[in-house]
Amino acid sequence: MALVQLESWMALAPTLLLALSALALFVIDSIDPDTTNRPLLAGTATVGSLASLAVAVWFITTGVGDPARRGELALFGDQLIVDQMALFFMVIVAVVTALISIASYDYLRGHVYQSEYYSLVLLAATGMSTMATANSLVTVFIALELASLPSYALVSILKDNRGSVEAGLKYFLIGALSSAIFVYGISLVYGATGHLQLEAVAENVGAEGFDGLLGVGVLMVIGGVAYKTASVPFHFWAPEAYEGAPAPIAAFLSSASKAAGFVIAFRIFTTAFPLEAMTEIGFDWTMAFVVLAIVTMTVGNFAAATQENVKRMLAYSSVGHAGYALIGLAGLAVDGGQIVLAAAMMHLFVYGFMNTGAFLFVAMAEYWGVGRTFEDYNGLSSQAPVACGALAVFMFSLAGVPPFGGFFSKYFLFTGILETASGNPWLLAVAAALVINSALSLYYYARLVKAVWFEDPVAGRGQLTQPTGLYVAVVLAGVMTVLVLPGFGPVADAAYAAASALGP
Amino acid sequence: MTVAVEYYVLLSAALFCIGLFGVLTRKNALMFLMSVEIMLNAANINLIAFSFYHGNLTGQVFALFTMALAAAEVAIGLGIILVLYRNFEGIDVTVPAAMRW
Amino acid sequence: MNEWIAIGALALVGLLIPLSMMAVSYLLRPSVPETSKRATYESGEVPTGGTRIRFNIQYYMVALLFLVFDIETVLLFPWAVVYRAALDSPDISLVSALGPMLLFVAILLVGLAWAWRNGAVEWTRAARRRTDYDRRPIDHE
Repeated sequence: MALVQLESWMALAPTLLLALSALALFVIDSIDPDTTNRPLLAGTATVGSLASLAVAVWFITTGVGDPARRGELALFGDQLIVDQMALFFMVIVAVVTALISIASYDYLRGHVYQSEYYSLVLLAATGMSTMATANSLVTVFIALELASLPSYALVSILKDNRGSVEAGLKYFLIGALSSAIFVYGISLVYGATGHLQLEAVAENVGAEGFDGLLGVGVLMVIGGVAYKTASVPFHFWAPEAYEGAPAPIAAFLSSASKAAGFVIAFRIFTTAFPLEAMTEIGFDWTMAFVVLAIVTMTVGNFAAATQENVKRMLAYSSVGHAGYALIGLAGLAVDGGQIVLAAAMMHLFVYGFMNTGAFLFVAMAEYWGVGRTFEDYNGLSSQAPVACGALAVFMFSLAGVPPFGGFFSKYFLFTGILETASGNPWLLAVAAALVINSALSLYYYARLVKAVWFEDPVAGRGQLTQPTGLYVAVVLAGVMTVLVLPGFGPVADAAYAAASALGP
Repeated sequence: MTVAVEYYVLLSAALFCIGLFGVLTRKNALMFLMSVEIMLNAANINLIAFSFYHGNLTGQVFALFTMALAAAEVAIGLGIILVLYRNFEGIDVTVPAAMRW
Repeated sequence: MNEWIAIGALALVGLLIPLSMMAVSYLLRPSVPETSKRATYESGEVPTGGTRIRFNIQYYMVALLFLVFDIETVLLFPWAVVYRAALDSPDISLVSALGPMLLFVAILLVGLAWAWRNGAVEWTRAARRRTDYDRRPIDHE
């Protein structure tokens, strides 16, 4: 029993806090448009996201959304739902937003558009947080756009930097195209079922006799999801946008935005298009995700292995990790498969820390101005051992080397696939692809660690400063990546509970 | 006397394909934006026709939201095209190609 | 028998009348070709320059603001449709019927105030912050 009884709409508090801090930043900027009070602006953003994080964690511990305890809360006529999966992903979004806000304090020094930057970050985070709770194709689409539109502006916020503008343009073009495809798919699903609320869609699958339209609509919805998660066939924007964007924004997009894309994928496909009914009308979408998962992880990892530019390598590796998380949907079956879904959620959680950390290290390198390629990073450890230690943790965790968090989530994914493979032999191919790609990824992740720790320092590099905010963010991300180990039990429990409450 | 819903779907599919064709062939960023708008409006036709067909208002309301979001998207898109113009002295989307995939 | 026939007949007549008038005038009028007839302004004013001139960027800012706020008002329509019925219903209080829309408008007002303060609606070009824009050495090749 909680100490206070709250109104049911208060269950959205984690999202509302993010939105309120964004509005607060607008008000601050309206009062003094020329403010460059960086501590105030970054502080507001950080406090807002930390408050959102705290409330989400508090809700999880007090059992909000747990069917056995306080129950799932459906709000606004079932348009939004606060369940365990929603809270789980709200936590991921809030954590990444907090890390980004802390790191941006240093990164944005001398930048003109300070408050605009933070309010856009928080608005995008609001969108992602809403995506976690969206329970209708309407709210899914609106939340997705709320997350996307500020991201376009954020990627191209360095207005006089040609790389940033080019990245923003490409991100926007592909984003606009894919959102048009997504909404057209939604309109077809609506035509075939007569509803947009996810449970109502599920009840009417195949009822109206427009099965062909429904099939095309589902394919287009997959397209929209693939864009948001940077999966094949809409992954082209990812390397460009991440490379050109300010590095904290690249971290934000590749961690929080991707996780949010996956949460809508999980919810839409488990709730709205139940496998049983979809198989009956001859459209088994797990096969689509089997193919997408294998192709995405292979494309991402092989492209990453050939990169010379560190940020671009990380971008392609993030495409590869989208492939790993797609396994969560590929492994679903009519009876079971929640283990794989839970493992995918865990992977996204760990990934939120290790990938954000890795991109923030790149942000630090950009702050120092050491260069962009592997060679430019040579021997940084002699000058910045702490950050480079954290970088090694991120890299080995991303590769899935045993003592780190990334290993456990991949291990659960692997055992989960093998367990469910009896129902769908194609999953064995997915498992094989997972192992091969992880082995390959170790090569290029280790290459960066080798460059930083074992190569001789580049001659003539000046003294490196110690930007406080960036250091704090990187070290926090590193500590969390390590701390996930003893804390893996609760995380795994939360993910399992969320996945089994969702049900296929 | 009403028009069967199939014809609306055909119309919207045709519009969608016109938009997609424009997206794939045009180099001018503004033409690209217009093509995307055509695609979004194709979805709106679908939503409203099916809203009438099914006899509920969900689709119509969603069409209003789609229009609002399309306007917001255009606002952001024009902003990006403006900085594109300032940096590259043109709005040909194939010109900025420093980063290749 | 079919009400579309009337529409078809109307369309046919609508096409035939202007076409026949053009045909008749073509047959009756004398033909006196003269170059001054083809000038843009027959009164004698000589046009200069192209028609494609560049507009002030401020038009663009105002147009964008108008676009966004104009479309946002579309979202008031579904609310306006049900508002009277909601007030008449005993289950719904005035606050819960009016409150959400006031909140919506308030959020829009925050946006408008922000745009105003940042000079988006100033007609003369505001001396916008133009300091060293991005002095971090990020060289996108």
